[in-house]
Amino acid sequence: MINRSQAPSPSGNLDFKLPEIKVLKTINNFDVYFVKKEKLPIVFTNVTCDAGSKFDPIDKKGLAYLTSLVIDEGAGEFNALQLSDEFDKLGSIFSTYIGHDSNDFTLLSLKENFDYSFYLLSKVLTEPHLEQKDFDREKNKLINRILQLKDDASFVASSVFEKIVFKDTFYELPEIGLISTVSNINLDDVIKFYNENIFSNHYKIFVVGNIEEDFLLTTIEKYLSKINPLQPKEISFTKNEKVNAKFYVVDKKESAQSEIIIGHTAKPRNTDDYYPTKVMNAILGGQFSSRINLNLRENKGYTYGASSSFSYYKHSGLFAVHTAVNIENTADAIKEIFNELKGIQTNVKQEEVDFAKSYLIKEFPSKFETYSQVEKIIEQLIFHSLPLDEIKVYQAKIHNVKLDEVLLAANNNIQLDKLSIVVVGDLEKIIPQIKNQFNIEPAILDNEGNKI
Amino acid sequence: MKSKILSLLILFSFVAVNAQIKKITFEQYKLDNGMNVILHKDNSTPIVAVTLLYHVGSKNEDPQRTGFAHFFEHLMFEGSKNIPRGEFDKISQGAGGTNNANTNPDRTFYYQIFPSNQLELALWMESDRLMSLNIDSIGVETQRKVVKEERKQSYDNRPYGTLIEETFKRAYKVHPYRWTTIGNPEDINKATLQEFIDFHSTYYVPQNVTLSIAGDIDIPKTKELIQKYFSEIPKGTKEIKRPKEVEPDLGGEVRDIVYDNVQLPLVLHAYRVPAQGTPDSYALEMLAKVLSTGQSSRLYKELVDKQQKAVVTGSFPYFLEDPGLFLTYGIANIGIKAEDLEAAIQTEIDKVKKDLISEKEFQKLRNQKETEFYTENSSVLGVAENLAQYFVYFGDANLINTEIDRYMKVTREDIKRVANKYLTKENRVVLYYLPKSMKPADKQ
Repeated sequence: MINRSQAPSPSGNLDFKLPEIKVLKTINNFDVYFVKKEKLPIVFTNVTCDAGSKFDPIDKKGLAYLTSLVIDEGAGEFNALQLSDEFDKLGSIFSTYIGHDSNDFTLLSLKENFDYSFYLLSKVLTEPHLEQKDFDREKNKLINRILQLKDDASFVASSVFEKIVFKDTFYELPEIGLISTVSNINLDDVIKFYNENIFSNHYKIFVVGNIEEDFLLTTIEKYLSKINPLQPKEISFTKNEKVNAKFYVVDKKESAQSEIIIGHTAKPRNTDDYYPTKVMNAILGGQFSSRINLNLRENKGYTYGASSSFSYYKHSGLFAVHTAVNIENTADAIKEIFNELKGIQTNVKQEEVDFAKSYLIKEFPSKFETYSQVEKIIEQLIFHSLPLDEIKVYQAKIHNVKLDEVLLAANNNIQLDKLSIVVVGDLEKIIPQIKNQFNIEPAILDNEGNKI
Repeated sequence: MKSKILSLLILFSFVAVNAQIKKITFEQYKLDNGMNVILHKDNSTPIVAVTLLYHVGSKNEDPQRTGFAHFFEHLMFEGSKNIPRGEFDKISQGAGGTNNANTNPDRTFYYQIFPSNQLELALWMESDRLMSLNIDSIGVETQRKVVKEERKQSYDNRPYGTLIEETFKRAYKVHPYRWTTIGNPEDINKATLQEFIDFHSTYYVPQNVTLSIAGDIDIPKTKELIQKYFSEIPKGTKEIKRPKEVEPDLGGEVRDIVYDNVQLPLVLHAYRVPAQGTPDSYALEMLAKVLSTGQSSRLYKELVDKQQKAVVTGSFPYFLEDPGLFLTYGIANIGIKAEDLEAAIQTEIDKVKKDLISEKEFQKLRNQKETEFYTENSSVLGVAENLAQYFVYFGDANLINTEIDRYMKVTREDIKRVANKYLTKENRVVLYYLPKSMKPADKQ
C-alpha cells in the first residue's frame, strides 16, 4: 500500500501563455479586438455598443430591451422568419443581450460560415425593419415574460434590492422594465432609440476564433464600413447617498424558502483596492469554502448555498450577499450573515489570505479555455477602461495583497450601517421572526419594490 | 430573396458538414481491479479535467429509499481517511481547482478542474474517497438538512419546478424512473448509517467507475499516476443491481392538472420513447430540433411568433439508459387558455406526422448538429464527460467522433415515421400547470 497521508505536491511550474490580443482598426474607426484561437473551427464574435437600458426614459423602462427584441425581426432583404431561418440554416447562433450599460450582439458561427453570418449580423445593425406588426408581437411577448418573472423569487429579490440601493438613479429598475413602463412604449420610441443609440454607434468588436486577421478585417469592413460612428453619448451617474437602509419584506405566500439579499452599492471596478477587495470577498463568500457558505450550509444546514459578490456596472459597483434559506430559519440566517460581515472587518487570519490568493492565482489559467471566456475577459477590460495588460499583471497583483489591505478593504467596502436587507417569502412566517430577533418592523413591499 | 451566390454558399456549407470535424483522440484501458480509464490529451490550455462517472443513479435505488444516489453525491464531499471533514473543497480550491458533481437516474458524475501541474493531487483526492470514504452520523445529518433545502430551492420554490417529477411519476408505474433523483426526504430520514455504508461498498467500487481525464497531460506519466493511486483499490464483491423492470405500455392517455404558484398556464405532452442510442432515438432528436431549435423552428415560429399563444415553447427528448420520454411544452400567453395552447401544439405535431419536412429545413438540422458538436466539446470537461458517457452507456467511447454519422443517416422519412410511431395520444401524459387561483373550491 502506498502512503496516502500527505497531499502530493504540484509537478513543476505551469507553462501558461496568455492569449495574444490584436487591436485592429477598421477604415471607419471601429476598434476590433482579436484573438486567434485554432483549437476548433469556430468563431465567436461580440459587437457591443453603449446602448443599454440606462438610456431608457424612466417611464419607458424596458425600451432598450424591447428594441433588442425587435431589431432582429427582419432586416435588409429578409423578413423576420427569413432572417432567423438564415441564421439557423448556417448552424450559427445569434443573440442579443441588454445590460444597464451596453448592448451585446453575439454570434457563434462555424469558420466557413463566418462571412455570411457576419453579413446577416450587419443587416440587423444597419437595416432593421422595425415594423409595427413585429413590434406589437415582441411587446406582447415582453409583457408576458415580465409577468412570468414575478413568480421567480430570485429575480424579484434582485430587482427589489436594486430598486432600493439604486433609488433615483438609472440603475434603479430592471433592464427588462415593468409591465407599466413597457406598456408606455410605442414603435416610434423604438425607432428613435435605434437611431440615437444603436445605428452609428461606435461599436467595439471582439472576435475570438479560428480565422485569419486579414480576412476578419476585410469581412467587417465589407459589411460595416458605411457607418460613420458618432462619439459615444455621455451620461452622468449621481449616487444616491440617502438610501434608506433597513429591512424589507416582499410577500410570497406559501413559499418553501426565504430568498435573502443583503448589501449596498460599492465603488466601481476601476478602483485602487480592487485586488484586496477580491481577496477579501474570496474569504467572505466568493467560494464554496468561504466563511458564509461554510457557516450557513455546512454548519447550520439552513441553505443549499450562500455567497457574497462584488459586481460592477460601469458607473457603480454592487456588494451583495445572496442566499435562499429554510423559511423557519430566516432571521437566524440574517443574523449569521451580519456576524460574518462584522467578522471579516476585525478578524482575518494570514492563512485565509494565503489560501484565497492561492486559489485566485492558480485558477486564473482556467479562465482562458473557451472562446467565449476569452472574449468576455477582453470585453470586460475595455468596458471598464482598463489596459489590456491588466491580465498580464493580474496574478502578481493578487500575490502582492497583504493581510492589512484585506482588513482595510473589508472596512472600506462593507458598510454595516448602510446595509439593505430584502427578504422574499411567506410574510406571515417571516415578520414575527424579524421582530423577535432584531426588534425591527420591516417595511412591506410589493414585487416591484413599491411600499404597500 | 437571396441571391444565387448566397444560395451556393449555403449549399457548400451543407456539403462541408462532418468533413471538417476534427477527430478527438483518446486512449482507453482497464486496470486489473476493473476500473476503466480514458485519457485525452489537449495541451491548448494548461488545465486538466479529472472526472469519475459512477454507474449508479436513482434507478438503482430501493423504492423505499429514493434520493439515495443523489444524497450520496453530497456525502462524497464529507471527507475520507486522509482528507478530514471540510477539507475536500479547501484542498481543491487552494490548488486552484473547481469541482462539483451531479446525479441523474442513470449515473453520478464527479469532476475536478485543476491547473495541469496538480493532476496528481486530483488523483490522490479521488482515489481516497473511492477507497476510504468517511461515512458517519455528523456528515449524514448535515447533508440531510442541505438536501432538504436543495429540494426546496430547485423544485418546490421554483415556478414549474416540480414539472419533471410530476411527469415521470405519471409516465412510469413499474420502472424506477417513476421517482426523480432528489427523491423523497422521508426516505433519507429513515435510512440507517449502515445502509449508507452498504451503498458505498456496493456501487462505489472500481469496476463500477470510469475515470476519464482530458487536458494538458503527458499520457505515460498519467498512466503511472493512475496505477499508483487506483490499482490497489480492491474490486467490489457485492452484486451491482441493475433494474430489470420493463415498463408496460401506458395503456391510454394520462391527463392531469397540477396547481402551482405560477401566473401563466403550462401545457406539457410527454410521450414514451425508446432508450438512448437506439436507431429511432436519433430521428427523435432531429424531430425535436425541427419543433423547437432556434427561432425558425416550428413551435416557436407558429405559437410564439405567428399565433402568439405561447410565451415559451420547447421540445426535447429526455433520453435515458432505459426507455425515456419525448417532451413538448408551452407556457401560455396572458389570456390564452391551456386548452387552446394544447390544440395549437397538437396541430404542429400533426403537421410533422402528415408531411415530410422540407429539404431546406432538413439541411438546417444538420448544420445545427455540427455547431452543437463543437460547443459540447469546446471544454476539456465536456470532452471528458462525453467520452465517459459514450463508453458507459454504449461500450464505445469513440462514438464521440462517430455518433454524428448516425444523425446524418437520419432521413426526412425517418423523422415523419418516428413522429407517427411515438407521438400518439395513447402513448402520452398530458399535464397542465395552472395557477392556484384556478383551483376549484372543492379541491382546495
